[in-house]
Amino acid sequence: MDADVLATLKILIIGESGVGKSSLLLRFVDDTFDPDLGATIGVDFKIKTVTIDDNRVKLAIWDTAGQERFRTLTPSYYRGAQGCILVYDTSNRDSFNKLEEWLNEVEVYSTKRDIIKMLVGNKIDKDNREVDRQEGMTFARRNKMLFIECSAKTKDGVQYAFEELVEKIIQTPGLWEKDSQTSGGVDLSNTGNSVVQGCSGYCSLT
Amino acid sequence: MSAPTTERVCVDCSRLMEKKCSSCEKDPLSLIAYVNTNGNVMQDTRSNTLEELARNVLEKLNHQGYCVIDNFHKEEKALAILDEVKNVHERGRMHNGQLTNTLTSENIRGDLIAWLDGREERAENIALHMRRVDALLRELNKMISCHRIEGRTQAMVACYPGAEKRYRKHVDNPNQDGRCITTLYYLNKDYDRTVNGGVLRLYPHGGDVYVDIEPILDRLFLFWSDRRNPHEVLPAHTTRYAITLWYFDKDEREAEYQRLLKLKQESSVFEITDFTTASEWERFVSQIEEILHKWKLDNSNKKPSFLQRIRNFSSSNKEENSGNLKPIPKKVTSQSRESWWETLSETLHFSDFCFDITYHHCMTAKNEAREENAGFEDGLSPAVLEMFDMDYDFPPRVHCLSRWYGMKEFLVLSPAVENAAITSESRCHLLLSSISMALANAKCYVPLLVQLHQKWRRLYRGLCLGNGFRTLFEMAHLRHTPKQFNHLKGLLDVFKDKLALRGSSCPPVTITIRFTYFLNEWSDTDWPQAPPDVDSCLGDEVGLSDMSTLPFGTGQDAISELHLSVTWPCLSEDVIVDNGIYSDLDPLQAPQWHVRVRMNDDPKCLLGEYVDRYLNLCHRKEAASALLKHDAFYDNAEDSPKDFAHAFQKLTKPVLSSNIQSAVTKATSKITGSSSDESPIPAELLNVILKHLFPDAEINPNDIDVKQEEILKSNVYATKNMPNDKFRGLKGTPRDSLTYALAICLCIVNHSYGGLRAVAHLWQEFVLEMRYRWDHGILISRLELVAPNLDCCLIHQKLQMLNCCIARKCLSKRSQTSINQGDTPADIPRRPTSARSSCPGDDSSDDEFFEALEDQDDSDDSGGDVEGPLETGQGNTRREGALKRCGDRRLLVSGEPLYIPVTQEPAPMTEDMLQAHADILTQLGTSEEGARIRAQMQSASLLSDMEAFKAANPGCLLEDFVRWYSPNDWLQGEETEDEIIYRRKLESEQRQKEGEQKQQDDWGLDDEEEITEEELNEAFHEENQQSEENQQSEENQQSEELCDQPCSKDWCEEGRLSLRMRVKGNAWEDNWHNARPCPVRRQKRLFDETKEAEKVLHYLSGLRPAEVATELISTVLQASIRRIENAGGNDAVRSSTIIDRIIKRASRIFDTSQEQLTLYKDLFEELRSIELKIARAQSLKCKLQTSEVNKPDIDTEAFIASLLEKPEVNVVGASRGPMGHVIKGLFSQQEILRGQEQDYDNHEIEKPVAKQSRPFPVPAGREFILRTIASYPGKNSRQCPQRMYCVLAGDEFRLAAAFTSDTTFT
Repeated sequence: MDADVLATLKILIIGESGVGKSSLLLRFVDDTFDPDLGATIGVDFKIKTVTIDDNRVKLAIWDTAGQERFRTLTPSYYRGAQGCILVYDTSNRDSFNKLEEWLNEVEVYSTKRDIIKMLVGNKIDKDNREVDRQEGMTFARRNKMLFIECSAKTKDGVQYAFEELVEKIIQTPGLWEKDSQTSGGVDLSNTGNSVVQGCSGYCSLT
Repeated sequence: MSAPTTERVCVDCSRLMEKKCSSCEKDPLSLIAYVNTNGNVMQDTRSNTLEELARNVLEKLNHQGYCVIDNFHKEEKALAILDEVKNVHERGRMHNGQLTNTLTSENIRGDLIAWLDGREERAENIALHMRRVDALLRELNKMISCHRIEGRTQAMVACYPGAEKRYRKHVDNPNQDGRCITTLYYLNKDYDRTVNGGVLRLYPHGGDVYVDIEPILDRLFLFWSDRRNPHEVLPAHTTRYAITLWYFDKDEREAEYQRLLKLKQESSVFEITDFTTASEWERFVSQIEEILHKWKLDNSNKKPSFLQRIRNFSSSNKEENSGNLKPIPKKVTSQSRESWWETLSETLHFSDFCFDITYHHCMTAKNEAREENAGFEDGLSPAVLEMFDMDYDFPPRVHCLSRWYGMKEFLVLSPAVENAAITSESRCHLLLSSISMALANAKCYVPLLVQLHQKWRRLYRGLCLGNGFRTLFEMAHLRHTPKQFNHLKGLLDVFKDKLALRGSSCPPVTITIRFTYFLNEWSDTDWPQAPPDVDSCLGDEVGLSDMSTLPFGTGQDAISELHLSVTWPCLSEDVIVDNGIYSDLDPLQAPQWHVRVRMNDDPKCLLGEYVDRYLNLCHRKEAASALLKHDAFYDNAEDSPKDFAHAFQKLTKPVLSSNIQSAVTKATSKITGSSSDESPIPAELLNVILKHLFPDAEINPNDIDVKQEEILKSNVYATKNMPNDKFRGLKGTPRDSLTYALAICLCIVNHSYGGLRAVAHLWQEFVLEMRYRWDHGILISRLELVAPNLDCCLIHQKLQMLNCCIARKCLSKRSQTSINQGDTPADIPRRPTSARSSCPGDDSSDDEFFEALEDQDDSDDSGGDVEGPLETGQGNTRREGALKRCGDRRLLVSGEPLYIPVTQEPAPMTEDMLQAHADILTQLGTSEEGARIRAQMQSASLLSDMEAFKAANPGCLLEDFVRWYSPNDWLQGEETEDEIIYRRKLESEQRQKEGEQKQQDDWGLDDEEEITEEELNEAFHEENQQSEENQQSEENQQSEELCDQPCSKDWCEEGRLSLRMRVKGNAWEDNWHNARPCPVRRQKRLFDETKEAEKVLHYLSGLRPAEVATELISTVLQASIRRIENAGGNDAVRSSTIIDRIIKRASRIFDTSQEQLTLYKDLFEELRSIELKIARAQSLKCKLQTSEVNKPDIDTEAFIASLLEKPEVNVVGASRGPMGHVIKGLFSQQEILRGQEQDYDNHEIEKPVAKQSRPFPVPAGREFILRTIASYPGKNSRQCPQRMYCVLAGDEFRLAAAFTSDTTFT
């Protein structure tokens, strides 16, 4: 691993099939768009190193298949993920309605307690919008998620979405550090400081 | 004026001061004459006279090393100089002024100095003196060959302020710092040696012989500054003035300059103050000074001290208002006791003796600005005022000096070496004068105390300076209390004697008294730990009830003593009587009661001890096989011990179809039978443990089967996770699981029943049982039959995996038997009949193919939906492996209902398998090729589904599959922009292709066709479908034919595949083409239970005991936390927040590597401390919650909680309060327990107490603080605070006095 890389973060992209998860990833990593990108089978993954707040961070982004049948297969990849991007299609209400189920998956399968969740409404370039920005916002707020709308096709918001997520992960203590060194010193209870050095007082009476 | 000189001492050559030398009188006198006559007319005659004078001086210097010139200026001038010097002194310019005095008679150097350069105001005459000496030295320089005198120091005006100040024997310039000649000019009018003292004693040539030089007015005294002339100033009885000038040797000075330059490159050279610090002693003093400066204790009390400044900084915004002042004797809120101590420490040397100097400072959370009490004169040190803070009497758990003197800020100088001690009186004085010097020089108002004698005596002396005041700290310490001081009256007498207050109109003395009583004998019922159950087979382990929970509590009483302190604050001496005969001091009447508890430091926390041993286990290296000789387990007369499987069969053979219980007993009896001393766990105990772990072993085997049937039926192979409780993320195991129980058993066995070997033994037994269950298809009890739960620890996952394998094995065995038995539709009701008829051969080889479990299970539930197998009438299109209909959907082409096939579930995986799998996927990299291979690797399940789908839906298309499998890729309605673009692209490609074809095929034909867009559209749709179908494999030709059949609109769905499914050569299409219609039961299975089960068993048996322990450590942590929670100390200890924090930290532990293990160690340590706290709380509760108060008492709870937290707790209402009542009861109980045997005879002290048959024993300690404000040392002195602390305990009598004296008006 590169010496100057602060951490390797695992990020997961989930959501209904056909909402544009792979396209989102392709846009972020390779900055391209392919309208006939094949439907993902199982999981796929890509790597990108980014610099956020002067921290070089390596992202291993796992892209999952959205099909119902694959859902029995993919949960294993939730393991150890620090971030999770939940994608829906703003032009497809069904994909929005299914969010609750996906969120439940995250709750059940993620092994990190404080995994950072981000809600992404994709395909805002389309004319036939079915889900309001406000609706997405409300859902994200209710579930303590980051929220952004974007378009993998027009590039709007994609970069920003990933950066925001990574920044949030870095700022969350205990989520990515190798060990709990930085958080080890949180012991604020002053249990042991009543001991006075040296001659320890008049023992029989104090 | 000069007459006494010649009488008393011979200036020039007398070796003994009594001896009169007549020959020498001439020279000085003649010299004087010169100077005298020419003093005022220097400009004219200087060259002559000075030359002669200088020659004389040189002669003396060369001969004797020194020279005395009397009447150097002449009296009038000398007096003028004296006036100026006095002025310097009075203006306080001497060494930064305000120097008060030191107290001891043995000062090494007691002078005060000021450096002048002659340009100062009112120093004209001093300047004249300097010029004259300069002139003399200039002349001298012309004659000296061995030195080049050039330059001098500033004038050092020195004053010995009397009071026996002295300067011990020293050499001015021992180390060639450049000083060559010392000139001293004395200014003491009417000098009388006997009256004034302060004689300079010179030892010429460093010998034992000396000359005494009397410091008379207008005498100039010159000598070589180097080692030729050691000298000292004898104690001065009165004030003694002198001016010193040092003249430099140019070369030596130059060298010194270079040296200094090297030392500090940029700083100025002349560190003049360093010149006088030559001796060890001086260096010691300067070291102290430096430290005082460093710690910023040197500034006046107006400025905050160093630590105060930090404190200000940290709490800057909170309390800006300095209006929150604390009038000293007035009460302040109890919050001022919420404070903590900070210390700074340094080491310094006095010669080769090593000292530690430590700064103790009490930091209060509330930054209270202090103000001098108006009642006292200004200039008292804040520390002295603090001693009058009545609220700070008897502070608990502080440095003894703070306890004795009530100081919140002080310095301690103590020998650094453990056994070193200041024992001699002279050393003690030396130290005290040192600190006096240092404090004065640094202008430090913090008390500095020196530790004397052996450390254990805790004997200190010291002092504290104030502006015009000096506080002396003195102490007396005895092993036994002298009879006459055994009461307040005696102590009062001492106090008054010391201050010489007796008889005179003595100011009133305020007294604060505290008696302390110990309670350390409790009745037996006050002990919370249940006695061990002797009858239990677990033996006599304390606190261990059974194998299902870890022990909790302490092996000894966690509370060893309870101390009750009764206090009478601020009594006037007239009010109270306490003498040898009678005492007013009745503890029951005392207005303040305080209670402390003394904890047992290591009361053997059971839980802590168990987990501690468990942690140690994790670091052992031994393999199980090395610990347990194989022979012990597998030794069998008939069999080769090497053949494991065989031996195992042998073990289990007799119980093959019988219950497990007997198998276990058999196994263990074998062990104990063959070599009973070899097995670490006795058979009986092992039996108990195994029964505990596998409760189903006792159930009738038939019942097991029935039960198992239920489990298998109800089983849904969904991955279930732990309930989302707080332990999630801990990687533990569910509470009711086998793994959880196992972890606890291992922990207990490790601690109490044989350690590492026992653990190895139990684990071996456990693995044997696992293998037995696999071999015989018995599900593992107390283990959820689900895919491995990744939230749990690896061993748990492995066991779950094994359970899955066992379940599959059972099911496939059952389906096999049912097939072998022939058709039993009742058993598997709606099994597609075609399955058996179509491929009877396949079923026999069940290693290759299997019937998916769900085939049976789900058909039970949802079978109603399935319309029986539909024969299409066409010979080859039998429907196989259909599960149920997919809504109302029908196949696009044939119009047959669309069936969802029975599918294979993905193989369950444990986290290490997943990791390996993910690693492989990752290694493929991010290239396109990698992505393709990844997709291929993962398409096994997709392919399997497609094959099953094709089998269930004869004549289906990819479109049909997609409609079921990925409905989002089945589009309806308007074409999207992308699609149109794509279509156009496709069209143009096609057109081009067609064009080319035409050109090739129909070259020369007329280009007649003009195709409209609509036509093209239609053509595309057809083309598209056609092309799909064309690529179908040959097996699917039927469906192609079907395609030609006309379809009725009512079932045909309007729609199209999404673009990505349409793209040529996409992975889905590829797979579709490769898929042949094949129901799940004939497919290659995705999960091989035999292989996986063997892998799990191999993993389990390969683990070393330490590895097992490590893998289960999170479970042990979980169990420990649960145990502590169940102990329910939350009220008193508030453990829940700490536990939450522990869980949070534990969930961040990544793996079970060694470095992460240390993190567990910390967590367990924290748990141990909680356990200790809870045990203490419980013990206290037992003691303090008397039977009278049965109902939970909130006040008592709070009292207990604060007893545990705070060093000392106030008893509300003292003896009359409810808590006071309880405590009184405890003391009476103690008295009863002690019975009559107590004899109080030879303790006269106790008599008054003993007489009154009170419940209280003899006080373990009595403390008195006597305070007054009195003029000291003289009657006319200002009033100063005086304080004495006395403690009278069994083996200790101590008086700690702090007497403040006025140094100005003595």
